[in-house]
Amino acid sequence: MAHNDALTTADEYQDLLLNTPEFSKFLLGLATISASQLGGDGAPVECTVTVERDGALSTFAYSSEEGRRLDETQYAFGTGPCLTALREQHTVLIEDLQLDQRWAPYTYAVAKLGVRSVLAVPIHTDPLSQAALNCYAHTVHAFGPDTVKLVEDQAASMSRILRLALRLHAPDVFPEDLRAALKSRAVVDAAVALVMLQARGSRDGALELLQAAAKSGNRRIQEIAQEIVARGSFSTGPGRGEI
Amino acid sequence: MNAEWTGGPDQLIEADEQRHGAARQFQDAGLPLLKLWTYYYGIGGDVDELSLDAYLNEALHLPAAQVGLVTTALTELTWDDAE
Repeated sequence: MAHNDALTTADEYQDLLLNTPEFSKFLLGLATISASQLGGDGAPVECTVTVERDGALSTFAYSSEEGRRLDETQYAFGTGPCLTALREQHTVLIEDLQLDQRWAPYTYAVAKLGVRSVLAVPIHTDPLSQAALNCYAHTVHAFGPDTVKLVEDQAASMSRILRLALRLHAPDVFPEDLRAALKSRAVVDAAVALVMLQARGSRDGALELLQAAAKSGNRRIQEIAQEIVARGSFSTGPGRGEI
Repeated sequence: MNAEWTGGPDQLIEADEQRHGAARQFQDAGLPLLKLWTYYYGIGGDVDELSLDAYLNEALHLPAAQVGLVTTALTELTWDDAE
């Protein structure tokens, strides 16, 4: 059955990536899926996913408002188990927060929020970015060896989809612009194909005709193309007739 | 698409002038090259980003249809800013 579960999760991840236009919402989905899988046996677990790109740009997503505060606290201190897991790429387990001195100022702050144990697991991505899946629980020793293994497996299965998401949502391009360009290009190509067929003309000829129509009407190429596609033919607009 | 020049000398002068105009328009707009290329691609442009860069640095000539698309892209992007 474990095999089946893994398959379902992979499908879930894929659907999530395909259906979420924004990177932050995608991460939120990942965190929510993890929390729902871990919190199954009664004790609620908060999950967060943290991503750092080029050492600077960071996005984090959380399965609840509490998770947000926990992650933000860590950012405020600039250190913590999750940031260590992310930057040093190894699993960090705090079985009892009150006995752990490694991240002292941070641990005092989250202990006040009722957190007793923390597990942070790196998610392998690409050389330019680092990510971690973090889990918080309200009881001590909440993460036994089996749970640690489960979370590590989950982080491993997230790796591929997260790498895809990072590529799709590269920070230095304009996601909306790219989507708009793809859509526009599809319409223009369809219009060009139609015009070529009807005029038995060349691609350049069709492009020039679109440009001339746009220019004479002071309109966008894309609008002209949309009309051609909607109408199924290029009707002679104002000012321009033959190809 | 990196066309060798095939037209006559008069056309070459005209193409040079047109290219110079496009280069200035691009500089004045302060657009990132990637944004221009993406838009140009969206309205049917076919040359790669490097060739577009060379064209806008007046180091390469492009086929007439592509030149038209580059100038159209520059114009339509200024409409975006005005909106």
